[in-house]
Amino acid sequence: MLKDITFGQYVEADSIIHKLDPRIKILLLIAYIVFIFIVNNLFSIAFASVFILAVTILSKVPVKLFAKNIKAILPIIIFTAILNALYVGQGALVIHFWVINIYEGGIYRAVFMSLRIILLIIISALLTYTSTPTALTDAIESLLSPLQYIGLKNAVHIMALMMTIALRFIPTLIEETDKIMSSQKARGASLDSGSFKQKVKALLPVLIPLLSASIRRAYELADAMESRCYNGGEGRVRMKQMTLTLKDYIAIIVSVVFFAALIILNTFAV
Amino acid sequence: MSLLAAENLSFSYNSAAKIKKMAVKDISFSVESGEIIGVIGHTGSGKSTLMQLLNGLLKPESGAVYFEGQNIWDNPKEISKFRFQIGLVFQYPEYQLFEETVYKDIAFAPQNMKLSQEEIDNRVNSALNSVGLNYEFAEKSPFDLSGGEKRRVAIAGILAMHPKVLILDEPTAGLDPKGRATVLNMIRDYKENTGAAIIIVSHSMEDVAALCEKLLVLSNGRAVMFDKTENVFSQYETLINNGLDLPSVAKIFEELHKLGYLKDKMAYTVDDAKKIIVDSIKGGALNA
Repeated sequence: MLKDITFGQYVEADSIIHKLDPRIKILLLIAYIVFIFIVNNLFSIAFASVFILAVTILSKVPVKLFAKNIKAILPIIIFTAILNALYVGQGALVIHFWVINIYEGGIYRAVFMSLRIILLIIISALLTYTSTPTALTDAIESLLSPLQYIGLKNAVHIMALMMTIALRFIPTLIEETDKIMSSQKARGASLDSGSFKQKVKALLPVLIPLLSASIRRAYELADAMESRCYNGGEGRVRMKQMTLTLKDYIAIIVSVVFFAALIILNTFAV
Repeated sequence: MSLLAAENLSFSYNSAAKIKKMAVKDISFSVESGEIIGVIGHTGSGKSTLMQLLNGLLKPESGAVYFEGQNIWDNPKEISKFRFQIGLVFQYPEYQLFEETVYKDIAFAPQNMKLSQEEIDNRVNSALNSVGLNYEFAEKSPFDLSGGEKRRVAIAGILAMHPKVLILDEPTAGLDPKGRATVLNMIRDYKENTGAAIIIVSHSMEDVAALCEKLLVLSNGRAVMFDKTENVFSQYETLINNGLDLPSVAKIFEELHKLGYLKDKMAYTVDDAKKIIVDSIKGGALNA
């Protein structure tokens, strides 16, 4: 059933990572990505792996969910690894077979690149697993708010509002689609058989009512918002104020210490 | 052999939260040609799920639906054959309209039945006729009609299949009193003219009292009662316990009984009540 599709990846759990301010999580994510790209030896990346693994465990999100993410991009990881292994010609020759020569440096590079991609996936997933879509849009709005000083006064608010509404209506529209599909099937529509062209044509009886329903809902929502005196972002306050707490400062301090350690390791390790 | 029979039907939705909730539990009942059956139950009692099981939109987990003695899921590839025989009008069916013209929309189901153009023509005309819309409507866009007219066009889209069993999920929801009366009369006429069986889901005790010979009462996915309308309404306690109620008229009669009037009389529709009260006044029974 369509209803079973879940949107967003939020996993409910009671962990310190879940409770962090989403703005801090987004900023830290960016910093982690930058540092993972800066480091360039296997030692540092191994150290980063251990640290990020610890954070992952701290988040109480089931490890198999991360495994699923990694599995999804496994072809890219393998492709990158093979490419690196083949093209880096440093160090001793390890494998020689027909025209293929793989050197020590190549293997080293392949492992390094694979780890780097896997870490990127894990920390990005960590953000979406531990923050609700609404929290993320609120955070983005808040982070982009300085843009109002360069003439984009309402734009940030409107963008964030659009994102929130879109996220809010995905489950509603899925339910609506389900209902329309059922009623067309009751009139004998065959939605899942026939050639590609037939299938596309068979979708029209679903798409047209869905489109008209969406437009109707948009009007209704606009009326409902106006009748509650909505008039844009200016002067609006939030029910849930985002404030930095001790947890957030600790997260920042721990991360900064980690970054420093990473840089030291990267500079002095051989 | 019944026209349509449900035997020990059970069904549950697998929600994303992995909590298995039985929507329909072990329901059995049957419908004969020419009968009108009302299905009543509180919100979430499994009415809509049961309706979708009956016409093969959902496949039962256990139990079976028999149409003219044949299990509708015997050959899953032929399921649409049964969907044409067991017409299902969803709640707010006007939201399924999609074609450019009323004619094309009503013709959607007959076309899926692979009927000849001539037969499609006939069916669209007779369907328009049975919902009380004249042929001028055929070339209009369904999106230009009023709410009540849209509802009638959508019902016509199902009637054009000439179903032997017509199932309607809350056909009068959101209509004004005149619209309600029109739709209920349409349903009654369809039964009179074709001898079809009608199953009607409703929250309105007045509607089912006026229309249905038998009632199926659902609560938490189970069939609590399946009996003649007056027998069901005589079980006042059971109805209240399952989140339902009596028609307003019947409640007035209950009060009259308490006051010692019309002890041996009962009415569930306004028309019956009017007759009883007028007769009693004429007969002097209501003079204190």
